[in-house]
Amino acid sequence: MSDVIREVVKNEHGTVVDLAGEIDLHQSPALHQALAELCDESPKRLILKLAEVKYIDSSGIGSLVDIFRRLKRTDGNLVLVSPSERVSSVLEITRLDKFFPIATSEEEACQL
Amino acid sequence: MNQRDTIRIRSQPSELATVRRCLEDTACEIGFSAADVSGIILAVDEALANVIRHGYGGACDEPIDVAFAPIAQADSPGIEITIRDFGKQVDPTTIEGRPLEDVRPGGLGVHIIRSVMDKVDYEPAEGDGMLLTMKKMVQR
Repeated sequence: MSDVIREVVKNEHGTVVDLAGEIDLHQSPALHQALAELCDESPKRLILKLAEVKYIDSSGIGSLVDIFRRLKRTDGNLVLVSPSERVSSVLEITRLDKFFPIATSEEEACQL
Repeated sequence: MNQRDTIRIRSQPSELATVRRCLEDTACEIGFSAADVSGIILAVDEALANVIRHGYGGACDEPIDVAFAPIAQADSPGIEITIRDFGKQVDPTTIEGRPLEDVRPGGLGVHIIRSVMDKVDYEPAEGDGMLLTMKKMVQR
């Protein structure tokens, strides 16, 4: 299990993953592997709660892009919930803030 | 605060957090906004990740020297950051970000560095490796 995964909950809306900490070159490989394993279960949605993620770099963003694509292959969706200011900033710099579905709450994410 | 701080790290991804902490303190002292501090940290982190991945091909025990120095200009202070590695030398003109319209994992680091910093210069270092110099000024 990745150090940045705080909790994984599976329900009728999909799989909800609560993340916290810093997603950098050190943490990204384990996170990517854990999320890829969740993708293998073909959830309807993979909902990533990002409010407590204090830092993300391009390796973390790259992992999210790959996971998004894996889910699309099985008609699943990746939704980001409440990204922290620092995560939002990186999404804007890389112009991916319009690429990923972003919700302000888990409830809203379940509708996307 | 006007001294140059130099840190030597190993090309180990777990050491990046140490650089981020030191850089955050220095950038805050200089007077950068919270958004600029975040951007500077991200740019330096991306540059170091590129050294680890490309300069050293993922080897985890190679040296990287990171130096931060305030730029003392009364009207607009700033920071100069240099990253010196001892890995592969490359032609600086070949170091460029990829188009962002092509959404895929990887290749975002150089784009981020150039987006955030005011000045970015790559050059082959004396002997071996590369020297990256980045500058960012406080926005008034």
